[in-house]
Amino acid sequence: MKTFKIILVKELKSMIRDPKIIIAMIIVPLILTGIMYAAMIGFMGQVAREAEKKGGSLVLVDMDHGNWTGTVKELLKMNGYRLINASSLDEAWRILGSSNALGALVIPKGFSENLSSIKPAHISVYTVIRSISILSFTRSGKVMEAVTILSKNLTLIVTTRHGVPKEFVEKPVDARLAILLKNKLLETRDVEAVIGGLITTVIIIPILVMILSGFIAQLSATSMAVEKEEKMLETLLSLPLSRTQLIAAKITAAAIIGFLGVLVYGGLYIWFFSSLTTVGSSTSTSVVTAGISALYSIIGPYTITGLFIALIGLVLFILGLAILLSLFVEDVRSAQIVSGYIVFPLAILVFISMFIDPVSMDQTTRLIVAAIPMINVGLIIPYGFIGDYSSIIVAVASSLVYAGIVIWFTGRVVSTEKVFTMRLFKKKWRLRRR
Amino acid sequence: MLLGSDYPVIVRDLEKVYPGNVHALKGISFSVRRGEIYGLIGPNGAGKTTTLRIIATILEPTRGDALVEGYSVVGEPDRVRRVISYLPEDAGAYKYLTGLEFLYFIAGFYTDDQDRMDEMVREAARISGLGDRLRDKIKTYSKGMLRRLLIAKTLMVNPRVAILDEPTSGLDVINATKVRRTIKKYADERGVTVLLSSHNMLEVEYLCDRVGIIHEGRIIAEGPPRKLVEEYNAENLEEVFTKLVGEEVV
Repeated sequence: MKTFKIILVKELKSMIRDPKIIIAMIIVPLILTGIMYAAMIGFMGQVAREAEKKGGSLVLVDMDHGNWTGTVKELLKMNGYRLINASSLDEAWRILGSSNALGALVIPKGFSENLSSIKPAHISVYTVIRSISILSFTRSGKVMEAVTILSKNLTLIVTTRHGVPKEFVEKPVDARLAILLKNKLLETRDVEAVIGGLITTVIIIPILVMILSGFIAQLSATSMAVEKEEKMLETLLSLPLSRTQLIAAKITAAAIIGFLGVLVYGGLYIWFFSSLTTVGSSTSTSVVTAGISALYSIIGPYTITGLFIALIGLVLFILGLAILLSLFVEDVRSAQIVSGYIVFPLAILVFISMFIDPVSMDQTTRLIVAAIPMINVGLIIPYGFIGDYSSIIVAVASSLVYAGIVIWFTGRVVSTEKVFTMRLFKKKWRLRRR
Repeated sequence: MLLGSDYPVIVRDLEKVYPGNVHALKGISFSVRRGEIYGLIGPNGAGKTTTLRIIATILEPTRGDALVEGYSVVGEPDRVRRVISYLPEDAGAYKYLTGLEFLYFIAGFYTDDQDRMDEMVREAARISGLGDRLRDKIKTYSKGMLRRLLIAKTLMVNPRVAILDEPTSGLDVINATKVRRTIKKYADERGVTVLLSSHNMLEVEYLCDRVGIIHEGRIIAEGPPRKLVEEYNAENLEEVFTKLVGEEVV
């Protein structure tokens, strides 16, 4: 225990004082999240504001000059649109080309006559795409919004003139919304928020697993490679300490720092995704909270406990794998590259788990899939949702078994001279053969 | 028969074959008397470092064995590690720790007692002569300072056998002289058994009570430096070595 403590304290001191780790753990996530926020939230907010912003300039070509065209102009002005009158299509094109107008509305002859006789009237809509960007597309769509507003208001005017109540015209069918979550009925005014929350929750857990995997793989691989790079491995191996304790301390230190990193990254990502899903939305409900509470009410504490144990297994599995691979390299840079060999394939597995629907699989397939590393952890919540506890047990057990196998094998390698000789010999052979 | 009480290091028919059938050691045998400084000398690639690494339990021999204070490096490596202190040729230290933190880190493996730990670190401070610089991070140290720190960490634990691989490797004349004096003084004062390697024959003549000349994985001559010089009618160990391997110094 004493040896373990000495190594652990040294590991933590070295990691905390190493600017590379501070940069990787604090500065980079902050910068990345800042950029993502500026790029995504800022942009989406702009799009949402643009979409919500009332009005804009419209070029109007009135070829009808009937009694309803005046009403049309009034309605558009009331809804914030600024009208630029054109006498012909050519003039309308010219104005569209030289101004920032959203588009043009052409009212043909017979428009008023049709409306007066309660027949559908026609209107030609010209929209402008000024650049290939989402913002430009959003602006272009706003012309159709004007037509929708117009149609709705004209319907109201015509129907109320014929004695139909306004409330009926506005909402002929009033829906009371509820979601059947498995066998629980969840009444809500905002189905979209709850579903958005569930999707976000399903995405966030695998993303956190990926971040955690990346962090701890990098840290553990680096912490072993640093012994070689700082030329301490030979000294360490000759000290009166158990090599198992050495590896255990390194794994623990990497796990502690890794979890801190996940808290930073995870916190930022949860904030990021919850911001992303509420941008431009009228609801103030936190979709993440809604999703988590809805899920928790279904899956219960056993699934959460299973997930927690499986995550511990996953962490140990990745740590063992990263340390094992890092034994083959000579320096920190190579260790970081090698850890990428682990993280990328594992991230793909986690990514795959997001798209697997357990309901579409039979029990045997679910049990087999539950034994696939990484995917098993990602599927625990979906399994909990459908109440497949056998698959959860397989997922948790397999996660722990993989961790055990990798750590046992790493321990075997570390207790032999291979921990020191792997890779080094290749250089020596070359030198000697020369 | 050699007794472990007189000979803390006994090496028997040590062989090491690296993957690729590279024979680094071809049956080395020697023993080191208690309290003496024994030097393994020879050119690069002769097998000095491999021998020391096996005795320090870093590598495993292909055949043969080495006993350190009676403990087998093959069968009881954990016990061997408790009685040795090893300085690798190309050793470093954790650059983000201060010199003091590094010394306490090493001392912690040898004792639980805080007073004993403080004593070890005080001893290391005296051996290294680094003074207040021990409070600075190791990354700010020069090569000479780092080597002195590493010599100090090796000797401060008062090992029964100190194993030093090329202790003055890469040092300038002044720092090399300081290190040699430190080793000599410490060994004389404490009666520590020292096994070292070097390809610097002058250094070995100054430091060692006995030497083993190693060439292509075999010990080709052994004895006190002066005796070897006389025996081979040479001016110094360098000449002894060239006579033994049959190569002229150009």
